[in-house]
Amino acid sequence: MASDQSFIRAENVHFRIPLMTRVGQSLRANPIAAITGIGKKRNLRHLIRGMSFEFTGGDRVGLIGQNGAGKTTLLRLLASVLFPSAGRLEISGMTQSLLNVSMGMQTDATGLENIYLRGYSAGLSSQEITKRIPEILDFAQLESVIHDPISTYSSGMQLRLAFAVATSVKAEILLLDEWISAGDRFFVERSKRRLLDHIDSSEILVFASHNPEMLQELCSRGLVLKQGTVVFDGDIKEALDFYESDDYQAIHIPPQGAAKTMTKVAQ
Amino acid sequence: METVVESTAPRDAQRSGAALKKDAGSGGTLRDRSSKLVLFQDLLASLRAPGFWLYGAWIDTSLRFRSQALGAFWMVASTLVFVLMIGTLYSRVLRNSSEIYYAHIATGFVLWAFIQGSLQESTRIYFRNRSMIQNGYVKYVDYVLRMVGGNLINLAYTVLVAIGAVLITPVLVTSVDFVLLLTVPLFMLAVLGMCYSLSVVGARYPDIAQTSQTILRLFFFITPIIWMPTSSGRGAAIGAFMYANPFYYLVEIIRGPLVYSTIPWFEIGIVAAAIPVIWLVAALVYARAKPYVPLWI
Repeated sequence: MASDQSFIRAENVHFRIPLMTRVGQSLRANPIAAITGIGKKRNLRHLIRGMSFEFTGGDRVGLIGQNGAGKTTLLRLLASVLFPSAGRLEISGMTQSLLNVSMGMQTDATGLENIYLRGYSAGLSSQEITKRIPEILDFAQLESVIHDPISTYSSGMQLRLAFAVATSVKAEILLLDEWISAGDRFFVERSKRRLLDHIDSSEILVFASHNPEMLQELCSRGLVLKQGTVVFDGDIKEALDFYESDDYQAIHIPPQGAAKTMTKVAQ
Repeated sequence: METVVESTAPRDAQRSGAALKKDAGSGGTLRDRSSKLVLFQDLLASLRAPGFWLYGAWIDTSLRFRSQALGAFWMVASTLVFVLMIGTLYSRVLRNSSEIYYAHIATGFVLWAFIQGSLQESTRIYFRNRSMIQNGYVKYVDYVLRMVGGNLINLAYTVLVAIGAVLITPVLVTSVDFVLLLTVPLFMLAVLGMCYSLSVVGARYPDIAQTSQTILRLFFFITPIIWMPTSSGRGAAIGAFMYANPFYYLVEIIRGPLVYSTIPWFEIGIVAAAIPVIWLVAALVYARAKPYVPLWI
């Protein structure tokens, strides 16, 4: 593999979180447990159980799975928000995570100020942001209201602005969550071209969605997840078929580890 | 950018160092969760690319006062009212009629507001930015810098009251004031270091926000801000404990030269000695906690 190419490589990645709620922790609600609980082994929730995969340049990966299968957790691991509890995760390439397109927007600030705020949080310099403004405004069609606070915008206008800013920064690895299907029909059609261009300019796309049409359109490879394990890895069409079939429902994953034997890999 | 996140299960003794070295050789950035110096690495990266936190600090301040007639002058106005009212009242209560008292209380109060604001907000800083953190903006250093930056802008306005008080009251403006070039950076370094420790501890233990609020309110009264340690009257009773109070040193290294034209070498020495300790603690807890912050909030 060429050394300058982007890749994501996961080897037996696990992710567990201690199962504790604020209520269970409260000294007031449970004073005895607070003392007897000291030094006790904590209950761990196993969110990702031994995932292994490799994405390389040109991969367009769709993450498929029911709620709680680990799609968002996996995206957050790839975005370096979370760190694996065990295993090895190696990521090479400028990563952009569009898990929530409206991230960090200040509703009291003007549209223009939000462009700067978002641009800076994407790691751009002020010159780079200024250079992009005409193109962002052109797409979002908000020139007339750009000096108004975005709290006065309709939700469609806010989404348009957020989307235009987010897609103006190019990245090698692109992480997308479900939000893309939000917005009115007009926006979805207009933004689709821009989104496709944005995806084309990236080397790796990882896209989590429940929408089969969207997945087929954007992705070439499908990773079907169930209870934190990869149960299918292959062509997107086959992956979606597998997800729809009874086989997916039939897979039973034992509560602790040992998921490897159940992993069905079709390359 | 190249990122390697490597972890092994507790029973796996070996950490595959060979792979790490290979990646470092390809010229990428290596991020390993076990590095103890990750706070300084992150801080350096944030100082090199200050756009987000600088602009964020400015916009936070701007938004706070945007729709108000007095705007940013409110920061000056509220400080001025406090200093004039409390100054007049307490100079009677404490039987301290000296005019220097206004400069004393103005400087002390302005510095205290900065310390308290920064420390208090640190304890909740990652909760407040939870949605940005969960969605991938994990430069934790930036959130604290943005908040401290906002408080610095606040300080820049309110300090006008302190400067005004120094100029109006018969306080000597002498060459001793050049010591401020040393003590102001020391003050900032100490406060910033404490903010990083508190931000992590506050994220892990939500109760810290309430605890620190209680403690800081207490310290406002036992730190010589509205009373003067030198007064032989009622201030002397608390004055005995003054040297056990960390905030006394922080306030004194700036107020000493500015108001009293003295160089408080002892206090400067204590702060200078404390700064490495503060930053060492901050670096250790930050390095330990960094992978867990998204889980706690």
